[in-house]
Amino acid sequence: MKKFSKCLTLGLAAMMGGSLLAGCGSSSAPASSSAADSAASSTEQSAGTTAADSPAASGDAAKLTLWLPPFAGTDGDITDLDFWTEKLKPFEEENNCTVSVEITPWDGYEEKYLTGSTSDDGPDVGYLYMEMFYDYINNGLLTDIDSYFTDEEKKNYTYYNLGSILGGQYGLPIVVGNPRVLICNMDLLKQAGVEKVPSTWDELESTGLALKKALPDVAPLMQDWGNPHYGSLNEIYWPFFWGAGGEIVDADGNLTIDTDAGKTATEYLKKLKDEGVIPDSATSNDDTITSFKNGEAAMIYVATSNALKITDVNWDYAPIVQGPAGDQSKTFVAADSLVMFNKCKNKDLAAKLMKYLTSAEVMSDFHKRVSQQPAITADDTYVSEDKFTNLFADYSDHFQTLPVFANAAGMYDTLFKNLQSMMLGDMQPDEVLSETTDYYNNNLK
Amino acid sequence: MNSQDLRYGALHKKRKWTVVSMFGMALAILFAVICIAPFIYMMLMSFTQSTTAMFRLNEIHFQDLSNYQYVFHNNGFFRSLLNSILVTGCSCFFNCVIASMAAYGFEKKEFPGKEKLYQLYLATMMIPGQVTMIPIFLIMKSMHLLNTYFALIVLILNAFGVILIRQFMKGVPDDLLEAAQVDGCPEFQIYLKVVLPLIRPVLVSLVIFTFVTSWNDFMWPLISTSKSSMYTLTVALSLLKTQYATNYGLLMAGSAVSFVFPFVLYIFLQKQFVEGIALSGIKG
Amino acid sequence: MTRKKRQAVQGFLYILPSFVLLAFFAVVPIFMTGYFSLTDYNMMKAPSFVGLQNYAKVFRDSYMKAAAMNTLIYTVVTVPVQTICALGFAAFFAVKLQNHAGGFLRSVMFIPVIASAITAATIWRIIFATDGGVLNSILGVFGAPKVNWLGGTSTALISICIVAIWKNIGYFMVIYYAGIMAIPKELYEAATIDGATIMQQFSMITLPLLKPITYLVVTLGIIWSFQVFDLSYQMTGGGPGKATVTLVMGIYNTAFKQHKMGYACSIAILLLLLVLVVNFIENLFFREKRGQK
Repeated sequence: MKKFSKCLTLGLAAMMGGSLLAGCGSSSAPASSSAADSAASSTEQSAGTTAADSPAASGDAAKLTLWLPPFAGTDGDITDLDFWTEKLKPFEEENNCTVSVEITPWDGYEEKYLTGSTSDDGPDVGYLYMEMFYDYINNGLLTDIDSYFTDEEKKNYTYYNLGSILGGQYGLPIVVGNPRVLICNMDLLKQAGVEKVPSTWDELESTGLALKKALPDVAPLMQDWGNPHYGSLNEIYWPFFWGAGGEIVDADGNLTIDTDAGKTATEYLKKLKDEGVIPDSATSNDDTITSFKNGEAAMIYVATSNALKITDVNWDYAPIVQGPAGDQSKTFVAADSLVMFNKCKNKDLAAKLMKYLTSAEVMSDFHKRVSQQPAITADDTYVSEDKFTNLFADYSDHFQTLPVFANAAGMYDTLFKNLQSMMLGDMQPDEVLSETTDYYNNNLK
Repeated sequence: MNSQDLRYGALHKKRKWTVVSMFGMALAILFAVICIAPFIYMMLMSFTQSTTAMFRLNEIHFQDLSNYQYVFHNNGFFRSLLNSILVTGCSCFFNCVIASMAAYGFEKKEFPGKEKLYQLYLATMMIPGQVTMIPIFLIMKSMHLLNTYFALIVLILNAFGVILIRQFMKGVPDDLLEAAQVDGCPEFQIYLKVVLPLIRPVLVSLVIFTFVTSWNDFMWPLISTSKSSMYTLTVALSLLKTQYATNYGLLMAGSAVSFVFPFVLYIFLQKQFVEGIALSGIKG
Repeated sequence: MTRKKRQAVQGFLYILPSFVLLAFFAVVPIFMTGYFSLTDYNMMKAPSFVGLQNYAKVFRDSYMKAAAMNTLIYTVVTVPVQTICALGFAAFFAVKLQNHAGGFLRSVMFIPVIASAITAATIWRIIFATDGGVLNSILGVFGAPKVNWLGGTSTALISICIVAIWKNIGYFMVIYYAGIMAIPKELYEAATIDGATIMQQFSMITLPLLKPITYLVVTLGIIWSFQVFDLSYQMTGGGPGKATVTLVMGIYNTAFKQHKMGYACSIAILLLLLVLVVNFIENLFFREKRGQK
């Protein structure tokens, strides 16, 4: 009897130990192999060969997984999935392959990429924004795609250089633009006795105060501090931060938000809140566009493509609201890229797919039917006739993309949460910046 | 005298309604209203195209099903609904089979180390699921089981069912099993034909309990599914939130879809639901 | 084969399926969590051993401090309120309303239980909306000022507590009600003859006999509270600031947003220890009272 139970416990222990090892071993295996993979591909590239990998089994229908985020609005005529499915059909026929498209919602976007890209169901070709790049490049999960493009093709891409990150061409910029601009409900401004869109911080403040006085029920400047995701910083913080001449990180990747410029911007924001230019309800708002559409907010910062969806309000915009940095003031612009994952088995085909997706033909249709964005290639002739047509040509020096650095998402999240606390009156501007910097250096880096 | 009168409370029937009990009645009714009102609000809002949370009667158009069409067509809610039903159904079934087998083994069979093993089962009850979430994710990943129904179902099975059924099985007389054995009934047939029918109430209880847990499960499906075709309703609904933050009609239609199935089930199986939870409380 | 041996084999075979599952998905993972908590691991590269560094970090982490604090406040608010309300309603129904009306009210109160936390959170998030939300509109009728429910530091967590209580009362009420109904009638008959009032009967008979159920209700309540995630994920996403971040949200965010699996595992281990300690204290408390009786 005793012996049996001993055997049982021994067996149990052995089983646990075994599966423990199995769990660790196998989970680390794909990572190391992908690291080796990237090393191999980088040597090939230095040798100057183009097509690095031979297409796997070109006879069979190859399979690619493509992950893209949603762009279409609820009131749009077509859904993202329908659009891409339609567009990919000719590509699939031509290359005898199947491309399965997965629309990854913005909610939990980063989590889905982490869990997906490290498992079997992840994307071959995906879509990353600047905040996400560092870990994926640093851990060798992305392919340097430079060798798949001819010089001519590269020249055709207006923003090819933006995909050159941490010493390699890891991204192919696909959505560049969507600068965040200040839009104003001109009818409401007029009621407050203001005729023109504010173009400096002082004017923004005085307009806000005038609005507050004339229209107590309207939020002068609405901001979505109630948004659960730090992505709102692009609208509600970085335009101010860069208006004060701040830099997020220095050349070595050290965080430099806790500087005079950072303080100026943060204090200005706090002042707007204290004066009631930004209303108290901003801390629970998670959709400024609806407030703006409903006439509940007079001014908001918004992405240009979203601004164009607002049709029943008489609005105008200021491309840049100048802060202390004067004409060096900048605003946020997106630079989201297509990326190829190293685990992709058919890299030539994947590169072809990336080229196809960014081609003038697909992109112009995408801009026309799904989301209005500036063209990304020289041969894309589709130009939308709207208020922003000349914006890019005139102001491109004033647009700034986010830098790539270690655990950027963690930093932004911490900063966002601390700023929220500030807007609620629980923290002071200098505390926000110093605590975020400390926390980043000690816990996140 | 009917059976109701045997229970506690019958005694007080003839007492007069005092101020205190009137107050209690008012509270009970008030709370019942608070319990149901959000769902009525949800149903009504799901028929509006409202972008404000404000509730306006004239905005409700019951013939307008566009919100429902939208979540079914564009957000894959139909697939998610099927996933949720499949996952919950399988969880209930397998949990009953596996837990009742184990409980039978523990209660009616003798083998060395039995009680120690049972202690281990009891101990695992103390572990919050989130503590083991990361390693389980890694195990599933290394076994290539992410994005499968297996992964979604298997985690619902836990020691609670075993403990619950074992408590109940103490009431199954050993004589009955021995009699069946003497009659030459094969071992597995005894479990199937004698034991299972006798523990039916507790199985119902476990089904209800598993149903509520599995239908509500959120964190694990959120982590383990990256394909939209594998999302359960809770995940699909949570993803609706940021995308259409203030499209209240749409959000409410999504909520309604996720609510209607368990609600209809509850309407039909009300007694089982309530008694199942009560039994799991008393025995577990 | 002897009878004994055959029984042993049979018994083990019956237990085997559940044992395999439990071993793989409860026992082994606990050890893995323990192991990973001592490493730096981001799922893309092999884990590297860092000793107790993660634990040292947790205690200096202001985010986790806020998370622990919020979880604690959440527990302290929800558990007593939902337990007392559930008991109160159950007692009221047992004493005063053992009829169809009572049955109907009890059924209605159970409805929030069957809705998932995500569904409940989605609805309540809109009810709590600052501008035009139903709750503020109702309060406005009585002349109360607008409350920034989910946008205020102090009100956000309370709002989540309210939803949790609303959702849990029905569940615990059903358990309590069954418990009260199971108490033998003779005890009350005897007490009535002795001239005990209803309140006396309640405190002398009902409460002591319900102790095992109260123990269960409190234990479940505490364990659920420590695991709270869905509600704050869906209603506030942890905001505003760190006002509604919880321990489990901390685990989730560090693991799947910041790619720090090792660090997340160390938080998980601390959560487990916390649950064990609280359970231990609770056991002491209940045992001591039982001793008094």
